[in-house]
Amino acid sequence: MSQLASLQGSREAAVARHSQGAPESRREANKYTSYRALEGLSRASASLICEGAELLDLEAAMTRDPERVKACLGSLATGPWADTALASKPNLAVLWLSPGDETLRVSLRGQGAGQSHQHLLLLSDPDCQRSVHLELLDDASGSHHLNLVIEADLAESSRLDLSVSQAMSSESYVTATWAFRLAKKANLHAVWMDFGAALARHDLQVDLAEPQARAELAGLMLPKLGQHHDQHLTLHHGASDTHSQQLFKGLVGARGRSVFSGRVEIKEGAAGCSSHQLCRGILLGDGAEFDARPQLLICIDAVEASHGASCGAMDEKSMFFLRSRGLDELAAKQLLAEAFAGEVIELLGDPSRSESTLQRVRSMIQEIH
Amino acid sequence: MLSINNLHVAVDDKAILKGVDLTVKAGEVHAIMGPNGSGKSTLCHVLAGRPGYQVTQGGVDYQGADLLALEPEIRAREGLFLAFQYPVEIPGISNLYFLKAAINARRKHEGKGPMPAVAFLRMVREKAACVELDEGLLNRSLNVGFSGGEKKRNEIFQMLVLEPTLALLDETDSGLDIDALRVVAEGVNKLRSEGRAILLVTHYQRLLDYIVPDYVHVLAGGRIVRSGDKDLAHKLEAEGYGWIENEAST
Repeated sequence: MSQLASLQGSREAAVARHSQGAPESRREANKYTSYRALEGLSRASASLICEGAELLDLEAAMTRDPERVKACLGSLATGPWADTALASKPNLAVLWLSPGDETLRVSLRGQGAGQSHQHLLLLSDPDCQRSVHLELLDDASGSHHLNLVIEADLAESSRLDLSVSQAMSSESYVTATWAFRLAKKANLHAVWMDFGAALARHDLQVDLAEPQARAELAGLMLPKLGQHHDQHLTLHHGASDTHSQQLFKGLVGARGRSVFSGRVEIKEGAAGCSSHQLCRGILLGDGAEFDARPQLLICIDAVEASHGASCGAMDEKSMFFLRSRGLDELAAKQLLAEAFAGEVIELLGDPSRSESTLQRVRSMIQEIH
Repeated sequence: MLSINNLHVAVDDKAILKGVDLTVKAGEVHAIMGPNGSGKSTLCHVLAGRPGYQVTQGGVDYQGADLLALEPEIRAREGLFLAFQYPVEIPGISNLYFLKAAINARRKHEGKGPMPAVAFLRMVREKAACVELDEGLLNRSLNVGFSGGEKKRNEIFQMLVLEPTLALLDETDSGLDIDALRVVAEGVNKLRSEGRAILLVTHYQRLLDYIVPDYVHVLAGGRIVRSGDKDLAHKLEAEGYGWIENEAST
């Protein structure tokens, strides 16, 4: 237990930061996001289940590699919701990734009305390759705010394929802070899918800390009817020959709002790196909104970097073309929506999950048609 | 089959078609020629149902129905096909996936079930061969990365697959080299039959060397100002449109 006590410092620091108050919309990072609905919620619980691997408690993880756990726990993730979670003595679990072909399926389900905090530490061994699918859910028995912190430390030459599916009920909320640190030649391939929740806010923090680390990141948001889906990315190229690709899309129904903020920082030591970012939104009805904030900060010459953003209604020429071939308006819209979302969905690399995601896209178009 | 009666069309309150009259019977091929901006493409798009055009006067009868009252997809399912001058590129939708959806939409309209996958594949391969369309393009995203010639072949391929009753070809020959022109024209000729009609828009006689029309019409200033047989196209090729515009102005 003395080892556990040594972690108290990071928690106390989080408490101190947390005491400065809840996230405010006046802060630039929350410019588009209102957390008013999350105020005053009482404490609730959430269940965490992992199929395919054992979740360790902190004590067991410390037994395995105390120095690494101490180096990561509470120190990778930053930001107000991470601080709130750490200060709130969250449920803590450690998933130690070992090599395997089977996809690990992690399910986090909020229970009842209220607010729950979960802290998950992902650690990979060197050269380990593993796929993890994580579902964020609730039991739809009231407004549940799921506040999640995931800190992932990917060891040298390891690869993590992560897919996240957020399908909470339309009364619930999720704030999630995802922090990844990639060692030399580590590879992160991650896709976030937001389907449900009244508010879903993901803060994605990726640190390509050592040479030849590589990240391919993508997101798809499908908000409608007052839903707010918000994916905020901060990506640091901190070492040479690091590479990243980012593709984030919003398919926004009437009165839905989708936000993408992508800040890429290429540090002085990141010679020979490349970073390409694209975000696109399609507005499908009255009051739909897509806010894009691509940002690129380059502190060194001789790097390859680009970013782009676009937003608009469905392409009228394409709609007419499809209708001129006999597809009705709904089928044409569904096909174009599938094509738009498909670029992200195909990155899932799992045919069954891809098909179920496409079905969600079709259903959404049908609902709002 | 098609009867266009005193058709007036405007775009953003600017009159484009100013009284087009044209009758097309089954089995006929009509060519429409005319100077740039005369309204040829507008006529094709209005017939196919493209939004954004205001029909201010006149009407169109297609096989006994008021064509202009039909949604674009209903027109297509009733056998009308427009080959686009500028085929759209749609990333993420494969040629085959989209065509299967199009065929099955039409079959459903006709009270039939979906086409079996094996029959569909056999049929599309056969039709692709007719226009020498590389089979590799069938699984690619619709027109994405296609050359200009491949896009036009793809339009004619879709036409052969969908087997329309009335085909509208909007400058299908533009941007084609000589060999591609021949292939595309042969594809169109395969569709010719007593029960079908073709209305093709072109600027050049050379397409009409391959697809010999029954009638040639000159559209100028938003109206058909002269009609004739294939010899009219030869005269236009040799002398241009000046003499017709002069006649029209006097």
